[in-house]
Amino acid sequence: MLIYILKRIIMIIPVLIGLSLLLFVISRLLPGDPVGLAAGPRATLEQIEALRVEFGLDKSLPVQYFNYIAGLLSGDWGASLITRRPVLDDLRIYLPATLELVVFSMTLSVIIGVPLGILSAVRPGGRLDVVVRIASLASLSMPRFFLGLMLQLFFAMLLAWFPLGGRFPFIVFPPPNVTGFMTIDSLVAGDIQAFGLSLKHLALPSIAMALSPMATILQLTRASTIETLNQDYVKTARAMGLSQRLILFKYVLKNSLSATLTMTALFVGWALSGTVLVETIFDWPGIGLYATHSVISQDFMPILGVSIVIGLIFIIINLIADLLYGMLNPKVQYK
Amino acid sequence: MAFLKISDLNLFMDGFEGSNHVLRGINLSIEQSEIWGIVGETGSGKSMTALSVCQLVPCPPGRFTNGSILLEGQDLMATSEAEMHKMRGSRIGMIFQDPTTYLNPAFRIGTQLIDVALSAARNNPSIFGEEQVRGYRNRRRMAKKISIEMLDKVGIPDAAKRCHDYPHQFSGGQKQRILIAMALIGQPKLLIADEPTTALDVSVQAQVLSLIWSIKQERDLTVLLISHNLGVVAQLCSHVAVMLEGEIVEQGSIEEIFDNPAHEYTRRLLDALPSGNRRERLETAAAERLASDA
Repeated sequence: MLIYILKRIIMIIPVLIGLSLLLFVISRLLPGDPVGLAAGPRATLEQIEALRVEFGLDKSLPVQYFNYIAGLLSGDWGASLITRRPVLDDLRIYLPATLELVVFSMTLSVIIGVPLGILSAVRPGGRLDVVVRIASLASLSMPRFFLGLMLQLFFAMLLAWFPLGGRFPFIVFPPPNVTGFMTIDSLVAGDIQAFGLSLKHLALPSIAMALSPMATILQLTRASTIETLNQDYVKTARAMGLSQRLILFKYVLKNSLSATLTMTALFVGWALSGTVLVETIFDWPGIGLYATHSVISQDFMPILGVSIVIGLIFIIINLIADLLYGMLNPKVQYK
Repeated sequence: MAFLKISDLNLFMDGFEGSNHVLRGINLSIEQSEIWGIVGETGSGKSMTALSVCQLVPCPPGRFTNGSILLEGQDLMATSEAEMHKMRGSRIGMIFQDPTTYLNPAFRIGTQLIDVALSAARNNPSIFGEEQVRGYRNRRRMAKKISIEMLDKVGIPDAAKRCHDYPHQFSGGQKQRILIAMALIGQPKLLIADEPTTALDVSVQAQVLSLIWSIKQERDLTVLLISHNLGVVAQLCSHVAVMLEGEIVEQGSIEEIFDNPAHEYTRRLLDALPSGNRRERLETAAAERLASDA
């Protein structure tokens, strides 16, 4: 098992090299001159050239790539052309906000999607099944940006139950930064009011992000549960007098979770890259909003940084999912 | 009063292409401690009869039109699902055809046995012994103890250690023994064995039949053995019912049916049976096994 994990970690290196190379080439092939844009409309050609030299953009592409990789390994992820701030420092600020949103929304998707999927599989075509399937189809077919706007309109503007956007009210002191997760930091500080406020701010963007994966997880769990319920070992469990609850939530659940696990791991990657829309709508200060601003100003170092971080997290989540398979299916052997 | 009495049982299976009359007026009367065999070809309704006794026929698509199944005088057809649920495992034990697919692959066999024991103990606390066991931890400890004892009884070597193994780490014969242990851990009075040896090779078949025989003798079980193999039934059963296309065409003691088969289908089945009486050998082997266990 340990050897397998080590092998998989070593495998991350070539994947990251390939990913960084691809992203680097694409970012350099994009039309437009980010240095000219950063220097401003009144800059002279000399000033633009000086800026190009300052950022090492006067060198050949292979040399630039080599310098970038060396920087990545030594903790220098480059700097923003616009703000001149190091990308790694920005990521340290914005990444926890995005991760908090993704973790919260994915947890919501799984803890609602999986039990509902199982319960609707018990009586396919029953009342619960019909309601759940219509609701999930509606969630799947609604674009996230539209859903976000509707949530803002009803729950923030009309009902005023939740704030319109942001991560924490400007007029309240936030809890001291420990993990970067506002909810956890509030609990660490023992500030229940701050915890409530951070949950209120998390609610709408999390729902906007969670509904679509929740619907997919629900449908997938439903389908695999229906399949599992027809397996012979479920017949055994019934013949032995085990309770329906034990059969469903222990013996069937574990067998039908493999497909859901794969989909959830894929959804984490989808959610990370999908934060761009939701963070823009809810003014959530995460890497999605950071990436949006960087794209508008053709600031390619932050875009590269964000993409590599998302890629890295995606790879790690899939590694964790692969390791969890072993827990679900004892026949899986890690070699 | 018969221990198990099935009267005029009719079952239909509804589908897109119409209704299929699966059981046509089944009548069967089984006394306590008897071993009955039901034989017939695939699709004759043997397994459906067995599942009907357990009330495990999925309805729909299944539909019982009339008939009754009396177990010790209690009409199972009129019994609620909640009550049936309590009876399964603790009054009726059932084992199935293919041991490779009837054990949950994702759980250790110890976990599966303990859950069955805990569930059965809720309806029949005496399986934990004379003393009352209080508290979840104590009940679980006791369930583990009787699971290991049961595995030991059905012939799984090093049972305490093997409790931690998954089904794929056992052979086919061992899996069937584990299923037998699981079916009997709740100390039911009726054991329904639905083709328990079909998926096993011949030598393992004999071992499993011998095991069922010896446990039946020890616990005074009533056994309903479903098989398409008249030879297997001849080895184990005192009585036999022959089924064809959802009907029992002939029933009686093994001797009656073997010596004077009345129905043409029974005669054809008997013609296909290899000669020689192995039943005596089986009884001797079971008696020897009981003696060695004692």
